[in-house]
Amino acid sequence: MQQSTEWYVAHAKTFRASTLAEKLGITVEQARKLKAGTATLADFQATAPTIESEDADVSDE
Amino acid sequence: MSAMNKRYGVAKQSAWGTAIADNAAVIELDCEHTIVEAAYNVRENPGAHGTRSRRTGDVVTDTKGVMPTFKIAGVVKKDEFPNFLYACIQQVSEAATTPYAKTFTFLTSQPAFLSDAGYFFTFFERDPEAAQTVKVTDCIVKTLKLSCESGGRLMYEAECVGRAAIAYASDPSGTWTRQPTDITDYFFFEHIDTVTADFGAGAQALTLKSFELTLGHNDITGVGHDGAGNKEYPALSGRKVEGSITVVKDAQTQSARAAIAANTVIGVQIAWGDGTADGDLTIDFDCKLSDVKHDNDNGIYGAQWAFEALDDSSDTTYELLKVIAADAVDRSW
Repeated sequence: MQQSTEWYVAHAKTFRASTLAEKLGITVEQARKLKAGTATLADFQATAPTIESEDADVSDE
Repeated sequence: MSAMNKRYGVAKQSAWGTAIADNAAVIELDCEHTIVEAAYNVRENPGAHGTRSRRTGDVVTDTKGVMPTFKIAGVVKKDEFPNFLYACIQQVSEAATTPYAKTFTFLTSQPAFLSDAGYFFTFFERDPEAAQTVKVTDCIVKTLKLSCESGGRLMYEAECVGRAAIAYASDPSGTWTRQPTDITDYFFFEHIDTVTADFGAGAQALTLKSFELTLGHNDITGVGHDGAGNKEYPALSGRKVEGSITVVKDAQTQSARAAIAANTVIGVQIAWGDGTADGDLTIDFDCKLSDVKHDNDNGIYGAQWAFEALDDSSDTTYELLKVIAADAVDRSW
């Protein structure tokens, strides 16, 4: 059963880090930090490539 | 075919309701022989049909909504045991660096299994004959009984519950791997580093003769319906953490008796190491004693303390139950 991003973040502790990483599209290490409450999803999104930059990569190809 | 030829394996599932494939890798257990209890329904139809012979239509048999059960018992091994702990306690925090200490504590509720939260596995009762292996999906551990006595090793008995009808014609072809069996992979009684009881004035050392601890859930009931004739997921009702520690009688036993009289909460720790090195295993809990009775086995004057672990929200040191297992295996938990 697919849930919203917010729901996964709210229930992070109940997931295996690997499962959480897959659901949220983040790394296992980032998922561990979410589970531990030492980081938020926004912390990871701030360092992730933006949609614009991904588009730029595609056009370069 | 003799049961002596059977082998048993578990494999963690990633998705609820999706059994591990027969060609997938499986952890082969070093456990006692077991059997998955048959799970089916036998229903009686109303029989007011005016005949003395019961007819085929009077009885209906099916496997709708069944929750198969089985027990796994064996010696606790370092690399195998965290799977059972997670399948029972259902919440873990794993350190990011070696020895990847895993801290298990109970949730306030339960995982959303339908969304793949928690830990669940497929169990194989492997028959040497082709296509006769029994397979159970979506298994969790209802209760996990741990015991250890002088001269022995830590032992476990897991009472497991699966979901949906048993598959009787599986044919495993993947790699079955036993977990390590070196001498450092077991938890010997004589290697226990710490056994303490804290009556409120600091941890006091105990001289242990044996202990027994049962953790898990009072009841597991299948709820919901998945549209394919099965329950949706198990409801875990009520926590159970209880047992006994048997010690050589000393002043602490008198303190234990006084604790019962005074309604005192006791913090208990039993530990191999401190949770920071590979092979460490620590068990902490808050409890109240319900009995302290003489235990004079082997001529050693001792006492058996019966306890029930209880949640003390003001105490984060011991908690209802906290188990730390460090196995130097990164499980991405």
